[in-house]
Amino acid sequence: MVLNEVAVRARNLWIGYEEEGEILWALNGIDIDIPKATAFCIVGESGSGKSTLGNAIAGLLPPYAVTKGRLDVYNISVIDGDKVDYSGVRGSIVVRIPQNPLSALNPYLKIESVFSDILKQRFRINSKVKALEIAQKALKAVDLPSDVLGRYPHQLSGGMGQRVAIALTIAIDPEIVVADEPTSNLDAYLKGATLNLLRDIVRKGKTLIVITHDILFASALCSFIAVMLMGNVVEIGKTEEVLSNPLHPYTRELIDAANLNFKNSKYAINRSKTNLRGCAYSSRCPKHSARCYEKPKLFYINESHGVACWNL
Amino acid sequence: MKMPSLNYIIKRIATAFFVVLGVLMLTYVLIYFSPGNPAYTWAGRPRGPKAEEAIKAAEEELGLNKPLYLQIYTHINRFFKGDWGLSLRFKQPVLLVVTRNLVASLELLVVAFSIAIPLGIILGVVSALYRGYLVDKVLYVASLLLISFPRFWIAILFYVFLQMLGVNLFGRIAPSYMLMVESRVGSYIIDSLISGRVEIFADTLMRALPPAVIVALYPMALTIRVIRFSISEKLHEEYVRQAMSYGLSRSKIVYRYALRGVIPAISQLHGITFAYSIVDTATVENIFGRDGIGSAIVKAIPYNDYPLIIGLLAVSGILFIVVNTVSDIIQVISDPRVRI
Amino acid sequence: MGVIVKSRLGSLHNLVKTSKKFSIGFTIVLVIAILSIVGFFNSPYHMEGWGIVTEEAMGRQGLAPCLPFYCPNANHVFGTDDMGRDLLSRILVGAHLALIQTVTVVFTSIALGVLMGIAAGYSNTVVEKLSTYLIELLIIIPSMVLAAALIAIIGRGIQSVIIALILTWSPWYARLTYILVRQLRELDFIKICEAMGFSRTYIAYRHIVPNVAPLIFIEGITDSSSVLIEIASINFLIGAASLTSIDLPDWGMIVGYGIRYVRTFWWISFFPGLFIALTALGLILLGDGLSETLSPWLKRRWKLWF
Repeated sequence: MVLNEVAVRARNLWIGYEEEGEILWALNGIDIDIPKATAFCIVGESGSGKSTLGNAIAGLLPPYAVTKGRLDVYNISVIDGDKVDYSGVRGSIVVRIPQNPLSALNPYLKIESVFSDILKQRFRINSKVKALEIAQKALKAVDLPSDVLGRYPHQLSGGMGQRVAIALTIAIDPEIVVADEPTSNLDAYLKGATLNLLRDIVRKGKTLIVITHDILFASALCSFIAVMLMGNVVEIGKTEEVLSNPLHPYTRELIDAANLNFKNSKYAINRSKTNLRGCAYSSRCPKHSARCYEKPKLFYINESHGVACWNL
Repeated sequence: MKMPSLNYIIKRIATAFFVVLGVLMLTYVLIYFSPGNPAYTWAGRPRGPKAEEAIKAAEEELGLNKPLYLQIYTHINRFFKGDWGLSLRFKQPVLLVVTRNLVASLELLVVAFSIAIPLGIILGVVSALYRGYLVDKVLYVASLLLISFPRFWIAILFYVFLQMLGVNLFGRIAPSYMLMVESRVGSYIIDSLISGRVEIFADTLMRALPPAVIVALYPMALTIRVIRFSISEKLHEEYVRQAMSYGLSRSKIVYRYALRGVIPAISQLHGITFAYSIVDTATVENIFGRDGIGSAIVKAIPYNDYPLIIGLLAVSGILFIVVNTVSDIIQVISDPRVRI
Repeated sequence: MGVIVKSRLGSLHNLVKTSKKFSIGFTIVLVIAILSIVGFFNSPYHMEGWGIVTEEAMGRQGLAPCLPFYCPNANHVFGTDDMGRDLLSRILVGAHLALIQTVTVVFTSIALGVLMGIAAGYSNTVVEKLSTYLIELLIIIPSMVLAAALIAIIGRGIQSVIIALILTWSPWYARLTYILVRQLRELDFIKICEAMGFSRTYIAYRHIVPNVAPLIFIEGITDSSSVLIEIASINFLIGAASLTSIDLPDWGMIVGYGIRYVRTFWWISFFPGLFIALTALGLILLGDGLSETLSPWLKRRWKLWF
């Protein structure tokens, strides 16, 4: 992908977790460029490494994570080999919208204290009044009454919690917003409302990175899609290109599943035996061939549409 | 700030009442299981020329010729009227002996817990923040040893050490000061402070500190361990990670987010360790020659002083309930989700 | 729940291999156990160990222990007590008492507690109300005072201490069981069994006990060092209260009786106390190792990352 304005750039990024002396790699050498001021979706099944990528961008990798390669956020190097440094990025350039907003709010603090803690830190202001002014403006933007400020998290409903989380993000005013499964706990109506709020964020010129397993939601919101499988990006491109002309068999499988077309679906077995060095999809790929024991590189068929498959 | 509801307070008082009732019934019924004559047990297994007389008096007091339910009723009735009988060892009313020793033990416990809780919290936080570093390892091993080493043994070592230094801190107050303070509360520390005798206050506090430090070791070590464990657990919680994502500073996350969530657990913990600390207090009191529940029991055992033991049981039960009520209230104040 | 506990722990061999703490604790406890068996049958001055004051003992009252640079008599490494009995023999003979008391209290409390907890959580409301009241009552009673009461009633001896401790420890397990059972009884596999018409006793025996017992058991092992110390503390008080010399070679009692001589014969209290401390350390390491294996993230090395 050739783009001038890049918000997030990853080059041969490996991230793994140390588990009793062994390292389990969640990301296996990823190259990705996320353009500025767009909505970018990362789609994949659970265990595909999409949440790890999201956490890496948002700076929320756990302390036992192991890193290799490079990750730049807004041209600031956050991961360089095994050096990880998010100071000056987390909470000012990148903010994450949590998957489950109610468990992501401190249960011991009122919403107003959450706002004032964060805003005092962000804008280096000391007066609580000024912080609450910003908070009220942000709450207005998500259609919440300002009396929410006086409540504790357990007194909010799920939809309100989601909106409070988005309001916090708006108040912080970061350049990149990472939304980790923003709608997985919401019903259809609230899903739509959240979708609109997230669109507003993009409209303001922010970069939105959505991590989801729901390709339909992704297509409705985003202009770019990256499909991930077992720690690799298998297909990447503009949404309409990927959806109208899916090149990777796994993308096709995902789109078929979203259209409730299960003709070719079957349970994959022995998935855990997948060779790390080969193509991750090879064990369940219908077009499987001998070359698949080697890992395919992302191959761009045009300026923006890339796919990692030997059998095109 | 949220306060406990009236309903809760009534419930607590009712619990205390039923516990005392249970203790009294239990102790009274236990006498009947004792081998031999209940009156013999009640009189403290007397021997010698006056034994006959004592047993007869005990029989009268227990009312052995009346039916059992009536006996229990009079027993309980007398207790709630404040007539707890006469201590066989001290030859004084039990109520007097119990309150005197209770105040002495509380004096020690209060000093001990006001050392244990702040120090435990600070060290626990340090341990959790530097997990895996040398500080944490030292604190971990130290807290492990303090929990597993019997406190009476540590107290003996400490006492012998003080003796070797030539410091004598035996007893609660220097004998020469004993008659110079007017007894108001029963605690020499408070009494000397009320009457404005600074030198006596300093002396009593100095004598309270070493045993209090020993009693404090167990709750302190437990606090360190619990805080170390639960702060690490809290740092795994979604809301702490989210706070990080919002860019909150490290100290704010630790104190306002992680530690705040630990307070209810700490408060609950100390409600429980308190009961355990009474046992430690008893042994330490004996080593440092202080009055208190522990030394009262040691004095009661050779005399089979059953009335005194019943009094101690009831009072320590009530004490336990009071401490747990306080711990409940702290939990309510510190956690907005809890209601009682 | 129970199955998870079992599968995580694996075999004893595996535990010793993976957890350093567990293996240290296990070694200490094993050594003490072997010592207690050996000491029960034989010790340097076996008669004195059991508390008999022999004629030759009378001559060496309060002999100091063998310390570096100062060893009055190499035959008595830990010295002798106020009656001249060899302290090492008394400690060796007393080892089995400490272990037997602890094991009896822990296992009986667990059994009684699980029974009480299931009765409270899985029968009718009347039994539930009564059992929870009994549990609350027994939790509140301090073991030390209860032991004193039992001593006044059934006489001095370790049985009073053991009963007092069982009565005060079992309500903790009962409460834990009760909480677990209340969660379990709402689960589908129990509800299905009930709907299929199995009797409650059968369900309790077949499904509830196997799910609750391992958790309580782990809790019991973690608590065992506290139990040991509590027993020793109460025996200490009995020893301190005793007007005549203690014959029973119980560690706690020897320490307690020894404090009246602490200014001169400090070793009478020191060495048995050291053994109590060692045993308790072994037990607590055992429990720590177990619980760390059960929740593996506890073991994870932490650097603060923010």
